[in-house]
Amino acid sequence: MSKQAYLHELKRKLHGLPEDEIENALAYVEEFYDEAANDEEAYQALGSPAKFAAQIKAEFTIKQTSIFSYHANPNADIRKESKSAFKNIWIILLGILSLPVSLPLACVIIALIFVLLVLCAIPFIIVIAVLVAMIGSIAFMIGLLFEAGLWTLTNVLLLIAGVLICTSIFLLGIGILFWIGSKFFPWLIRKLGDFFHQLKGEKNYE
Amino acid sequence: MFNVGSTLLDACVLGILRKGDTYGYKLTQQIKEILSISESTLYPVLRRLQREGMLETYDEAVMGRNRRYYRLTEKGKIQSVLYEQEWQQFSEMIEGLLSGKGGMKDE
Repeated sequence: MSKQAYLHELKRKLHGLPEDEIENALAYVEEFYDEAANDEEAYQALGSPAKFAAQIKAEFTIKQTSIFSYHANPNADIRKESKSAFKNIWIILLGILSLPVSLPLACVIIALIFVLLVLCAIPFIIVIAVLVAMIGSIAFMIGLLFEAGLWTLTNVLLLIAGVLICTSIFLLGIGILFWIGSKFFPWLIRKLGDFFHQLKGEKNYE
Repeated sequence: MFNVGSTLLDACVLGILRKGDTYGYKLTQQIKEILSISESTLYPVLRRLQREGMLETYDEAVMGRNRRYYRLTEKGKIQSVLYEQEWQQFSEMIEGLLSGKGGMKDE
């Protein structure tokens, strides 16, 4: 493989990483091709662009996750943090894929992450279900009042009181969910990062 | 025969650079004389050490092409000395065990 072809391919594979990260890798490869006796020797030594890129991405992943765990600011906007956490999950996934672990192990890890993600989604589903049930029952009550003609002051006041109590309990529940989420989610991501770190750390160079 | 972990690899790279600055290709060749490790493994190691502030790079044009030299930082020097001391202790203990002279004394 010629130098130009290698550089081109590597650049393509590294797409998405920061500019200086790509620039540095390209400089290393270019120098290697220039110093090696011929293109064949350089290519043999460097391995395929795909393999080279995978190693860089694996290393970069660790940098990303450690930044997340060290700079996780408890006062930071929850939304913003969750967003970068989702990005982290994605990067961790990519990193795992690039690790030379056996396919079954990779499948297990990915399945595990998927299950965790589904677990994270359950609270949202519950919230939506409760909301639907609440609105449904209120509509039913109002409908009942109209149909049966029980349009008395006591009944209307009872209805309003019921709606108020329902709504406040609902809001309270959402608050608690958010609080748990803001504590639990960063913790989960940190643990995932640590786990990945271990996986990577145990790898030995022959 | 023996596996070399990433810490020892870090220590080797820093150790080589204590003798003087080297460019990427030569540094790789020096490591490869002793350890059978691929370039695709070594490059991320160099990059990581650079990010950790152990080494820094500068470019130099030689015969119309570019060489990226690696230089130890103050932090890198300190770390390298630390590695050397740790390794001395460790290797003495292992040597003792392997030769059958070391380890804990039998009661």
